[in-house]
Amino acid sequence: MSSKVFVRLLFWEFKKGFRVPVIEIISLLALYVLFSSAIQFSSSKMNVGEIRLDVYESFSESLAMTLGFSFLSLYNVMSIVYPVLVANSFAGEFSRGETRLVFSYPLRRRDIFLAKTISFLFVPYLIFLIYALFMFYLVGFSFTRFIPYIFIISLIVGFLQAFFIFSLSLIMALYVKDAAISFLASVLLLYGLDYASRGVNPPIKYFIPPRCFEFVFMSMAGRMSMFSGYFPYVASMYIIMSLLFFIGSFFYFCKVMEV
Amino acid sequence: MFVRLGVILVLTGLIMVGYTFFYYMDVPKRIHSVTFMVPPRNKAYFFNYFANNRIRVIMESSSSSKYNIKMYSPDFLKGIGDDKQACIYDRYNVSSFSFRVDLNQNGIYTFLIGNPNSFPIKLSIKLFYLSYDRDFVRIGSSILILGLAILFFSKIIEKINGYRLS
Repeated sequence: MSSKVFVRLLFWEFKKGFRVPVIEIISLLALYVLFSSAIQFSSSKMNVGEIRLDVYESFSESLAMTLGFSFLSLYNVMSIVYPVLVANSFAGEFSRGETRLVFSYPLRRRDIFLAKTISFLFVPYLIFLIYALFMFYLVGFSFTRFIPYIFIISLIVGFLQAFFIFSLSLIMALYVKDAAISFLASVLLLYGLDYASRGVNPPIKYFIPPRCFEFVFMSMAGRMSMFSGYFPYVASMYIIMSLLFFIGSFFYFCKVMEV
Repeated sequence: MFVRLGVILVLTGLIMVGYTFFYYMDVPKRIHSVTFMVPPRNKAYFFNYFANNRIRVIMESSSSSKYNIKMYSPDFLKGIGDDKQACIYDRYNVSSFSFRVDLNQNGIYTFLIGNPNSFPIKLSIKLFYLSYDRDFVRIGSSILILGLAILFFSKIIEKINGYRLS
């Protein structure tokens, strides 16, 4: 298949998946979550102490930590957005009989799956990223003076979080094949994990989402003194789990699924 | 596409302006205070992170003993290693219970508080946000106006051309 056809397929998925209120709602949810923490930071910080040469560094670190946590707190938004998109696209199309129609075209299943994945995984993440960078700029952080490495770490961990939620929703949608039920199952599972993580003590807490992503972020930023030894296990566990969900869904969609 | 972009920008601007407005309507969120001791014949530094240009600093001391304040402009921290004297924004000699100053530039001000006495001074500093954060409102309203302009011109071009821009 030529790349031109793939790009057209991508645009088609994009147009179909992101109808009029979808991008607007995602943007506003992201803005609300990120802006609320930016405004709290801008009006609450003050410090008494000795003047130090690295005051700007410590200040920028503190700002980057706040914005990083606010980016990871998009878990609640992602737990709604990704299940809706994936359930509508994969399970919804299957239950409406559109998948059979699409598979009858001279298109490879692999390309259809990749087009859907790129649209529904990367476009919402890109919207979150744009708003996060906008907030970063808005609260007055200078990109030129210091490298905001902590904030970049949060973006990477945020992507891992998005990928995990996407993969979980994907496998649920392909398994259930009903839009409403797969959406409910994914959302209840993700929120249930969030609820469960509040009730347990460390270090078990750091193995359950979304605390596990905050734990990985803090460990990578060097802010976690206790339990930091668990960091490689937690990070690799979620990377492997997300990849397993994703690759399993890919093979099921491309090789096994009957329409 | 232009209409959607315009709508997104308008809603973004509205949320920013509205959220800022309602956030600062809550008065306790606009007051922050900190209390600390300045040792005898010594100095203490105080930074206000992210003062917006509608902030009032009120310093209250435990006695009417003298102390002096050097206020450095936000350029002071940016220009460490350069000429520090040039960054002194203002100097004050205080000999009262209460001292008040309004800041009129965004950024991190540094207050260097000197205690010439032979006894420590207990200082209470209150930061009072007089109004909303102007930066947020300014940028939010700019985005709102930009969104409205895109919507308006896309509608005009749609009328002239007879079809919707995409």
